[in-house]
Amino acid sequence: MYARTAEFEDATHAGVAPPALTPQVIASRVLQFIAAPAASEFDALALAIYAHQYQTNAPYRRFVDRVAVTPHHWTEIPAVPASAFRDSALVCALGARGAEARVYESSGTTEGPERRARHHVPDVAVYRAAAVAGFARALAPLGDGATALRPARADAATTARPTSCGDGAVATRSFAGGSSLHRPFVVAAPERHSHPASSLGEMMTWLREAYDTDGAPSFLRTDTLDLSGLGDALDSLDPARPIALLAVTSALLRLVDHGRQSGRRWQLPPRSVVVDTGGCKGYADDLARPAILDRYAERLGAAPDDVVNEYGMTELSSQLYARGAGPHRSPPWLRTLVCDPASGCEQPLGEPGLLRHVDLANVGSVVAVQTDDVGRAVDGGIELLGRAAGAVTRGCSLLVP
Amino acid sequence: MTTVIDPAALRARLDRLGEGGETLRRIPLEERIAIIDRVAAQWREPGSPWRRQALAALSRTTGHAAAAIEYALDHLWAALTTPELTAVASRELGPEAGAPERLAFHSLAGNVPGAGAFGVIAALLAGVPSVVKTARHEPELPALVATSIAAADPRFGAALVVAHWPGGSEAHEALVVERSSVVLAYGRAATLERLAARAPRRLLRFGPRLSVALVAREAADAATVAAAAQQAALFDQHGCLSPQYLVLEETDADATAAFVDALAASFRRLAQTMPRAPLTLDEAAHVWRFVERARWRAQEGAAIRVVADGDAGFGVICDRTRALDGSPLQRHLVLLPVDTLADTSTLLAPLVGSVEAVGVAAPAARWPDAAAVAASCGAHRLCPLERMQAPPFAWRQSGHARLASLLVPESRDRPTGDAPRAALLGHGPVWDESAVVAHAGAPSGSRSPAPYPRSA
Repeated sequence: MYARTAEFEDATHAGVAPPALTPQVIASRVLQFIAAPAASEFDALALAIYAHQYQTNAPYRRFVDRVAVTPHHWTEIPAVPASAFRDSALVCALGARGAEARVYESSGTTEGPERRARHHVPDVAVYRAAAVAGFARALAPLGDGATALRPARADAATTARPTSCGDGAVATRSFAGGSSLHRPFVVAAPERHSHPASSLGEMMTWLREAYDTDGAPSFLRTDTLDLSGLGDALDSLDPARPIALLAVTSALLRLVDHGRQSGRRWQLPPRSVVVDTGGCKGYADDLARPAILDRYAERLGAAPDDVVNEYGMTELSSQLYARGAGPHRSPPWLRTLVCDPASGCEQPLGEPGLLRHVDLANVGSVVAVQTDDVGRAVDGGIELLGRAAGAVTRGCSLLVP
Repeated sequence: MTTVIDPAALRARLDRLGEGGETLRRIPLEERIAIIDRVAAQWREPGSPWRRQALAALSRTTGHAAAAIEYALDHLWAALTTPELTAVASRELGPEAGAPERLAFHSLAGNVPGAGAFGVIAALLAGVPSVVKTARHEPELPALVATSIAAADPRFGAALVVAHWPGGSEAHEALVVERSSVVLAYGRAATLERLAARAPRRLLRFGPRLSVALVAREAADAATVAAAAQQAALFDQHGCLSPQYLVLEETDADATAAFVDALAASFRRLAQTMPRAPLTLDEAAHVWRFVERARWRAQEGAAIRVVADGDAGFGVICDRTRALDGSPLQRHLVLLPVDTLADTSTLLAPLVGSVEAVGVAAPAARWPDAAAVAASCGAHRLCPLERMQAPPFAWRQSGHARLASLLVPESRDRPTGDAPRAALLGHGPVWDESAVVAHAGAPSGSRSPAPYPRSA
């Protein structure tokens, strides 16, 4: 699948798993890859991370031993089911020396706090680099940021200042008609201070540190969404200053509803961008992406091409982004397979299956994660189809989700 | 392609049902029973054209193996005999019985071939004309049943409309619910809630439920293993009578391990003779998620053993953690070892209100223990394990009396001093009495345990 959705040169199969490296070396190599991706190095680096994790992550080692697979290629790395993050601490025994560690928790509440996924990140610098660089790539002009770096495009980069994560070659690119990434953010999403266990909150905070020129507080508090405040903020925008509106999708949909009920519309300044995430979780209706984009266009004046959707999960350190109604694209350090849940084999192009991610930035936990998110590989990326329902489609036999 | 009835055509057919109902009610009860008996006999005949058509249609629409469909048809029509119908009618439609409802709307599910058929037959017996909405995935058997009934007696045919429209269609459902005096709703919770939101005059819910098999240590033998696997494999556990849990009264850990292995072997054999229907992506994903989590927990030291085979399409999960994580269905049986059957009530406490039937493999002397378990978890039916998916017409499905629930409540509930009828409308489990008697007298009650091969 990946070969059809992004450009890379397949690395030579290693033949045997490479020797484990120190956490410092591994983290350093991943940071280098994020800063200057080289598709030909992905396979070797993925296998090196795998070997490191096999040596230092005890539950993962037991899992690999159980499934009895020795990978020779990144597509063969045993992928832990995402649910394992709910049952075990999947963390490498040692992070890089002096590394700052975090534990992120999923927001799922239906099964109780004890069933939340916990992602142990022993070296948060790698997550930060991946998140910030991935965001920068996603907001680069369409067709540029989502693919691996190519010299012809790299030559066209602007001269804005590089970010601190070392992704300057990407972060200096322009987006949304030539504006800098640096601009005022209007935020209705978790942040580190309001949602300290949220990986999304951490990422939002980093993005603001990197690119937000104004630092206005988020309209999503710990338990509440300040809809009227968000509406007022959009009312008072300077038409000459493009913004980035970063929000969970449900918050924007509620804002649209609020606008419809109160007769209010907003018009984002030209060259603004909307970045939403989270799907319809927390919203009354499960809307398809085109319907969501229609609503944004109707009440926010945001054209579909000015809307970017982020797909991430607590168990990953990297994110996929989609512009408008287009497919989600991975950054070069994340590759995604679409797999048949019954066989575990990769699905043909266009056939739906479960997404399996190999995320180099998951250097301190597990590099390969099998999710129960449904999607299909399409030309240019992954079309997300939601989450496997778990509900029986034909029946009245009680099914415990 | 399922034909969707036009709302205007549906209205016209509903208009005619009133007259059909009057005609139906003028037929003496004994004659109504005789007509159903005649229809059932026709379906049971070798070479029956109805049966032949149903087998072909259901193979196409449900994906279930021919053996499963034959099982469903055999037991559906075997239950509809004059003695069985008369017995139920005498209990529920006696001289003091109230007036029949004016019109019943049956919204069917397509999970199990023939699901909902008893309700339609019951309506005819109770003198209630019916409109039947077929399931999207299985529209054919209800239509065939209706056609066969109409062919046997046109007066019955005039009291029955079988049609299809998309679930939730405002034009259709608003009309039908408004006209109906009682709605029998089968299927998923969302379907039931959707119909409930239309505020029908009466709503009989036949929603999602599960069933449990109880195995006493004296009956933990090869026959019980085969029966348990078959009952879990039938219709791939899509029915509310499908066992999802099997509670095994444990002799020792080795015997339990051997029981699990024998169950797996039985499922493997059934994969040849009665293969599982193809799974949807959602179903396959749910199975994967469940099995992988169980394997993960076992890997990390939980007292769980997983024997699952995706190619053969089954799983047996022996779970001593008492987590009651449910089954993903599709032939995945969760085995819960207990020291004694008496422990089961506590173990199953989280399932109270969700259990439809308890199937039992035990010597006759142990049935009171099983009955206590069934009562404690609110089951509506207690039966031999091997008959879980072969309910009698008397089965109080989802707690609703088969015939009495189709009578107008105000008349039905007036005091009669009829203790059995009062009990009938109560909430204890109903025994499959004839089956229980047969089972108690069968050799299974005194079989030597565990003639299947033990694991080393």
